[in-house]
Amino acid sequence: MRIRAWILVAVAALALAGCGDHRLVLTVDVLSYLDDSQRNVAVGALPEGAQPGPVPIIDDQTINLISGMGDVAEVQSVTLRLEGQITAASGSGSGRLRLYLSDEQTPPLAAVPVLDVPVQFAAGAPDTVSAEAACAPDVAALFLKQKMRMAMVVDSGMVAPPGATGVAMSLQKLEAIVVAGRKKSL
Amino acid sequence: MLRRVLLLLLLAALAGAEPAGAQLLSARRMAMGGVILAGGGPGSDAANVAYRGVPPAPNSGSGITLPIGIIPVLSDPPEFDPDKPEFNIYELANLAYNPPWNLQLVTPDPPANDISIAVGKDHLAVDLGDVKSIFPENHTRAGSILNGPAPGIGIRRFFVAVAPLVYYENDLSFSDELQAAIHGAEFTPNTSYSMHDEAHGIAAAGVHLGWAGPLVRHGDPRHGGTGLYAGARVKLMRGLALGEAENGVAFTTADTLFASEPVDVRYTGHYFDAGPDGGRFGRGFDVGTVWVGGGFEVGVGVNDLGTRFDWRARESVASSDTTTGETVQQVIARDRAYSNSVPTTITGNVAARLGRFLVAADVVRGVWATTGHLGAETWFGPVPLRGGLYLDANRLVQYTGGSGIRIGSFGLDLALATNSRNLSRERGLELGAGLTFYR
Repeated sequence: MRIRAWILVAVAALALAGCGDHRLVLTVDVLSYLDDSQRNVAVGALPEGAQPGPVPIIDDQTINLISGMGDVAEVQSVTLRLEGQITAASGSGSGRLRLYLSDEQTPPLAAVPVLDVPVQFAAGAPDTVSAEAACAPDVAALFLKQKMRMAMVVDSGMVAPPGATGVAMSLQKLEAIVVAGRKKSL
Repeated sequence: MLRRVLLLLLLAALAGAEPAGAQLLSARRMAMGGVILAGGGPGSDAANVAYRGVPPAPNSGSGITLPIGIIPVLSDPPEFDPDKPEFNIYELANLAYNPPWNLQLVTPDPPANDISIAVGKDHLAVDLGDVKSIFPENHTRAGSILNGPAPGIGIRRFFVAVAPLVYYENDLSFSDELQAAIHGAEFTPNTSYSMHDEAHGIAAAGVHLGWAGPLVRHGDPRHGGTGLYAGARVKLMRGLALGEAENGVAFTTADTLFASEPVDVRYTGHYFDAGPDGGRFGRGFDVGTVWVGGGFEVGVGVNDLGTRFDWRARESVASSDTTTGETVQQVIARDRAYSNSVPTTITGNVAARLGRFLVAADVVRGVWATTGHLGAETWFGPVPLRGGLYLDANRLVQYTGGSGIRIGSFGLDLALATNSRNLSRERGLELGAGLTFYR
């Protein structure tokens, strides 16, 4: 589940070994790792009232990255950008869209969400979701590993009577901008 | 594995920025485009053994260069510790290309842009920006043969001298696909990417036994006469160090770039190395001829005809372990009988006195590259004025000039010369200085 792109890593290492303010800007198109059914999730009908648990949008998904990049670069920052839309055929409601990232060994839902944004839906009024957030250092470091895991849910859902039907979530953008510098111990 | 590939890429960068002519340890020659100077000037007899027998030209002499480049390096030494933020691999590489002998007046700035990598499940693109200029765009071959100073003694037309010899050569190639990817094209599925490098290097020292003198002479060739001179020398040497390596790195992408199975990176290496204990007999032969007359001078020198070294070398192979991905190196033979040769170098030069001007030119067919030099000199009383240009091994024209002053048999020379001896092959400017002791 990895590409051992040593030549690529070595090119980056050689380039980063120049003057101290060289940066590696790694853009990870997370959305590209999702197939159509994960980008356009039909949640379906939701009963009125508080939802009993999180509604999964993306189940545990593995993201394969460039092996060895962590050997040559140190993450300085990671910015996550998400754009999507939530619609309903009837009814209305609200909740929180949460994105989880974890390392290869950890179930993503066991981690702290890296994105937690409020969402609303109402029939005939699609809600556009747009969020940008900086990741904590431990989460940021995941992007230089050879793989990580991701999950997305709508949690804390509250649906107005008499309930909603045809609830759907579509993702238009999900990317991470990783800024890294030379690893000093290279 | 990473360090090996990193080393290979550094080699690629270094080879791509092939030194294009080392620093010259003669300010006069440097100011005249690095041309082989007429009448036994610096560099003449190393390139053409016949010059040992040619009478010296007017205003020629011997000299020493002044290491004026050492001052800024001592006052602001480079950082060698990679853990320090000031560590700069470009600066160190450029220092290796330009030992602190001449003073570097203009040094190209190292690439300072960010590197961008875009990754998706089926998408990988790299934008190195200016950094990609350090990687050669084509198959790159570079090399040089350095015949050191040969101090010795002469008896009549015969001579004996002691001289070192250093030879290195590097032949590196990227596959078209990898070349394109490094220069910005996307990596694509089901594609093979590969890099191959062959490096050869030897150091040796030995004795030169030779003869140089006139074959035909009518009068004084420097004053209206003519003379045909020839020279030959046998090199009897012992190898001191051998390093030969053939490296290859290759991988083939799958249907999907970041698919479920790892891409198998295949690394192979084959090495021969030896130290002084493994050095054996080396022999070679140089010949040359020079015609002098009527203010003209034409010479052809052929060095290292059949130069060959024997070794008792250690032979090793390396390959990537298909399970762990790590490189495994194994010695397969010690004291393996091994021989290698040094390429032949041919130098043609002409020089002419045209009124108050000395004009000289040469063409050198060296290791993988043909270079050319052109220079001129004139004197205004005790002050010389010199200029020149040369085509370096990177096919770039470089410009030189200089002056000085002569007081009796003593002279001070200064030279300015452009060069592209740096990783990005951009033009720099250096100042050389030297003292000349005129005959």
